[in-house]
Amino acid sequence: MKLESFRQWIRQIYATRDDELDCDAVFDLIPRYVDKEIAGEDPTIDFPQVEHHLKQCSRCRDIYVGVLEAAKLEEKEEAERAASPSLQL
Amino acid sequence: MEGERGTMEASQKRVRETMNRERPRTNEEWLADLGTQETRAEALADLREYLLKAVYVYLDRYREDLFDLSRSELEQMAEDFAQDALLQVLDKLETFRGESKFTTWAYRFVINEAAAELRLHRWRTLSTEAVIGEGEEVSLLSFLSDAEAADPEQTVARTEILVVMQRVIEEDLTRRQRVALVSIKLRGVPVVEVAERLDTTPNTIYKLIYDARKKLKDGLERRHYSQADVLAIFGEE
Repeated sequence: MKLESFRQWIRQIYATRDDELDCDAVFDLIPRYVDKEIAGEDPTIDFPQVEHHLKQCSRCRDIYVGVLEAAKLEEKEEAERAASPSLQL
Repeated sequence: MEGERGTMEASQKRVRETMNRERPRTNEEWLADLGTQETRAEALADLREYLLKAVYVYLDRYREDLFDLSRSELEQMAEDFAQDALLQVLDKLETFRGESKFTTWAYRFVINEAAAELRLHRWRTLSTEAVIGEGEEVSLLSFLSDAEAADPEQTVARTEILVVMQRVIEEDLTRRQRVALVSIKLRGVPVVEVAERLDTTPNTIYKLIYDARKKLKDGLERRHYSQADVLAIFGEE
């Protein structure tokens, strides 16, 4: 473990809270968190505990990023389709 | 790798073409089409394409981890993830409450499948002992490769903190908390791999790590080490 990784671990240790969500709860909230982000809103306002969990849990963060990337691509394709009506034929 | 990239791009293009045939469904339309016999097959096929697209985007990010897989193995892997996730989506359909976009709700199943399999893929050939090192004594000092500071006093201060943390790990953590913490935080083993080796779920592993973090925090604070103190001693400017 390198020093920066250790310092990151220390930050995670001190950030530990009594009211943390577990992975199952976050898994259920990720779609709403991602939709907020896609809509250009700040998801951390409505879901601060999700944000906290994503900082602590690399596995959930990986799933969140994967869902976000897929949703962004879908959004982009829908926008392109809307801008090019002929593609809908 | 170029061949694999070409294949994945071609598949993504095929997925996009399929999706371009119709305007996107609303949440209500997804539920109606999946729940109606006449429209179900087409809706399933479309949903599968959305899931496949999500898998390809995800796999693309981890291309380097998959260098040992052939083109056909990658394609088969993506198809399997999409198929497994499709079954999960159908199984959980009644729990969808329309609080998010339907496709976003569905993506998490396929990304979860792919994420778990990718992590396991990298560690599968190693023995349980090599992965989680049960029974092995833990030395934080040995894991922290660059703990030695230029200033001897700072090195002593760092060692004192590591000794406090090591004492918490050895004396306050349960065996399972210790195994989970050391495997994930010190050895860098993925959560899903540790869960599989300990015959439990990733969620349970998260709870073990959470309890371990709490005990480490309590242990450091009991000895009056604040976060700022510890970070300063370990060189944060």
